[in-house]
Amino acid sequence: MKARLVILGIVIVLVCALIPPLVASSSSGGGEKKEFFIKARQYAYDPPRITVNKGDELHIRLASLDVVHGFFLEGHDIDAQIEPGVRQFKLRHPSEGKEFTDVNEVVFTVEHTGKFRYRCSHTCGTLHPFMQGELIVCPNYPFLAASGGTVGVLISTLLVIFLAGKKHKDAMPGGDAQ
Amino acid sequence: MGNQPANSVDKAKDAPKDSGQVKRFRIDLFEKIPFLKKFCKWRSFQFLAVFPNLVIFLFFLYAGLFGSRVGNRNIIIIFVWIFWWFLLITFMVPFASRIWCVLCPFPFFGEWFQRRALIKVRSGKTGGLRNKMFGLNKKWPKALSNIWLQDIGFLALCTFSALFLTRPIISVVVLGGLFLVATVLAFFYRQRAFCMYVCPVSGFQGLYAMTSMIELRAVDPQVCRKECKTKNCLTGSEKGWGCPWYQYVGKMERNNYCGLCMECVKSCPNDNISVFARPFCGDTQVKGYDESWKAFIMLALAMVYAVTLLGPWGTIRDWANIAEVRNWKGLGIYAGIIWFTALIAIPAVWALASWLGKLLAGVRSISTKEIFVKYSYMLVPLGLLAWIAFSFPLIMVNGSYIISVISDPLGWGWDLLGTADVAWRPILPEYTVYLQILLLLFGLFFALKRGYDISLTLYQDKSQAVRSIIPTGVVCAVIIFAFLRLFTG
Amino acid sequence: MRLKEMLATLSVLVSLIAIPVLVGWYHNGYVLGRHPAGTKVITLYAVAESGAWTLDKVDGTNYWWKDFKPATIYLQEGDKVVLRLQSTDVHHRFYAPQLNIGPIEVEPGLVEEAQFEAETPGTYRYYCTSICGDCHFYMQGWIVITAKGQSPQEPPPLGCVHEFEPPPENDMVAWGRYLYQKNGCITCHGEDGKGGIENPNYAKEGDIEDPSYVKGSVPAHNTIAESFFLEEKEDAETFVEWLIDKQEEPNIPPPDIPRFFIVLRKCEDAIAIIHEGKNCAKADPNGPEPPLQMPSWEVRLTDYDIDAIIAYIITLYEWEEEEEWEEDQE
Repeated sequence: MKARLVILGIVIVLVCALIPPLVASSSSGGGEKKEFFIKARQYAYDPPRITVNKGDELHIRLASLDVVHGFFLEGHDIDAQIEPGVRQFKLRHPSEGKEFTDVNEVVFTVEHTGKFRYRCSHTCGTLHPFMQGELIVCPNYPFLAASGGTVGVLISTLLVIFLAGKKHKDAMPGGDAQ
Repeated sequence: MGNQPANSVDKAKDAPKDSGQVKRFRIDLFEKIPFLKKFCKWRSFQFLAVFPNLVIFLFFLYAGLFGSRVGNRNIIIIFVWIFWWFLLITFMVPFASRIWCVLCPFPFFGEWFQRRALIKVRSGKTGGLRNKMFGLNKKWPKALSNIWLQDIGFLALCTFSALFLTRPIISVVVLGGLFLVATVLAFFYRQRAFCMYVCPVSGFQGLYAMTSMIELRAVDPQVCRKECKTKNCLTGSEKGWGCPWYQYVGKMERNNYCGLCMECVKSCPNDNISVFARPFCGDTQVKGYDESWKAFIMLALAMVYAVTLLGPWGTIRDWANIAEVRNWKGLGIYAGIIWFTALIAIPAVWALASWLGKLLAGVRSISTKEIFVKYSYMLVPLGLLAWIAFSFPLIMVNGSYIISVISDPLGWGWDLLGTADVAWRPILPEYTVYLQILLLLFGLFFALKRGYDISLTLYQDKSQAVRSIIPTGVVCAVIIFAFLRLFTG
Repeated sequence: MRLKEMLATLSVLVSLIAIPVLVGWYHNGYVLGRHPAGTKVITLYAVAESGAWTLDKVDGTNYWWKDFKPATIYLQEGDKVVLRLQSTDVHHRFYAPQLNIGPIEVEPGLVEEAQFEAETPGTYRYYCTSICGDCHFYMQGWIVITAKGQSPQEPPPLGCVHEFEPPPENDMVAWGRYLYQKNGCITCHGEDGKGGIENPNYAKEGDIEDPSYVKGSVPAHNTIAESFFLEEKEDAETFVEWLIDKQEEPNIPPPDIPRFFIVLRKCEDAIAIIHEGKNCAKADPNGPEPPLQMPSWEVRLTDYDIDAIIAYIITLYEWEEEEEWEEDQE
């Protein structure tokens, strides 16, 4: 009985987690060329958040308003160094080596959905470790699934507790994590 | 040694009432690992645990004062706020209760002064103690014998977190200041008054230690009640100092105020104290508003940190970064939001949810206040997991600094281990979100589950119990959703 | 037990003394001492807020209150020197072109070492060539090398002036003047755009073939009106008026001045240079990169700001006196 309730609980969570991504996946979009001009300053990027669709081709120009900053885009193998007063910036792909090359823009296609932070990779002052911005690639499946999962956990935990409580005085559905 | 009967699961019925609802495992670690018991009973145990940390801590202070100003190249910033913090919140607190309090160097000199001993015990009489203690040994004022001071102190300190997290010199001021206060208070007040009532780290550790998977307890509380007249754990003996945290193990049922210093293990005449392994969230009682508010404050701060330090918004970081930006109005707004959220907004929502829970359950005899305080325990696993979800990116992104800074702790161009030039490199940062989602949902699950356990202690009828936690449960889900939005959305 | 207690006490006391002693011993003996005997080890700390490479030891205890002065490094001919460069805040770049030192990237928290030998006696300027804050364009200092047996001459003092009272933004010429000062244009183009600031190995682009045109100094701005073909004072004033009015009404008709479209084209060229910056050519192609380069102000000045600066530098022309014709300035 207990095992069955646990399974019921897990199924509810999974179903709830799957519904929002499935709904969102039907929306079209992507494959466009999108241009952004991201300006870095102590200790943020402007725009702080850029939202694109999966499959878009991004053309990003970078500039610094004050001192030397970096631009490390997680999950995309992109690391740049931006010098103020210089229109070009230095780009490298960390997996390919340490050498930087001067470029006018960084071009890449977003393949994965979710949230990817771009953060400063070159010490730029006191709050440097917290300097970051966000690239949101829609549909944001991890977030959608997690949101559904939150509802799922709420419903399933309460429901399973309720069902279990009615019949088994001491059973603890869901089980201790250990 | 070991004259007590073996015990494991069946001992649970002797455990205090709050955990008596459900059978949970409880493993006597001293029995399973005799070496651990021997080690904890060793008089040098405490000194050997603290001394290396004291040396390291003093070195950190030196580095903070005279080392590089650049935070991510100074050992005090990297080791305290990234390495130590991560270990504390993700491992020590959830798995080993207040083990940090054994290792903490803050009370070292104060306690040395009070005891005039680092290893040995002094018998004698001081107040109600069976030990000879030095200093004024005053009693801590009754009005402050709660954790309100820690609540407010921690909130006040964290309002300025953007400063001390990033500037070695301000870290020195904060940590050195606490070190000094701990030492000075020891001259005047009995034992570890600082740790018990003042230390800001102590407050949240106590709260979250309730979730911990170990506990120090009496092996058989009946022995304490019936056989023990001397209460040596509290008062001390020639074998061990009286509990510096004023705890009587016979009645101790929560981890909150036990610093795991192991003095009671040494002084207990019946050898009736042991360390047990237990399930996550073993203690489920929040007692009093001060502890409830601690839970609210911690939750609010986790959220504020997620916005300020891990969010993309520069304006908010500018407000927090008062030392450079000098926008006093901005700091006012920032501080106002933090204090309002922590002290008023979250508690108000919680009170509303508690009231609704009372209505839904439909039992008049149980007051909103009782629901409010008891159910605030739900925010303990929730808050802890939110903090862990916040702390993982810190180590995954900035962990490589640990490697470089260990070779060049002062940022003076040293290269002790040949790793000074290791470049900053985040470790799989793009997968952090998945980890955070799992942690947060796990936290929500535990909040609801333990919420239900607590509701069963209030309500006879199970369906009443479930109904009573629905509103607070929904609040928990909304909070988790807010964190998910910040971390992944 | 007593022995243990004594050992514990002793180890606490020893550790209190040992930390600073060990740190000092390792740093002075090993880190600084690993250079061959006779080497001068000079540590320079870069401080953005003061705009200085300083010889003071900078750490958390003094950074927040002290105004650091740029270091003048006095050397004797033949000295072997190790410069230890470190930043206390942001990224800096150390460059002493005439001594062939650098440019060295100085990332905050790391220590970069540069070795050189003091050869030709003289007074040489060193620079920070990576924009590091309001004082960046002042962040320079001197290396003075004296011949054996001679006493050094003190070079002129350097330091950052960066407190300027902002005028109302709608007073375009005054605003231009304020930006010209605040953004450090005056440090390279001279007070009131008078120029004359030395830029080692700089040549105006296209002039390299003809050595007589090679310039060792940054272009002046006080003759820009002339190079815009604004030959009469009234014309210059009308043009500035038109620039001001254009802010309100972008489609305003052109003013009545001779050769307006040439003036406009010159003006647009100047705006483009401010906007995009300009790398200057080398006089001696094998020589060092000139240290003073025109940065791009694209993201740091608005179009209005740039127009204001143009308006301001047009007004710098001294009409009363007969100026010598100079090459057109950027």
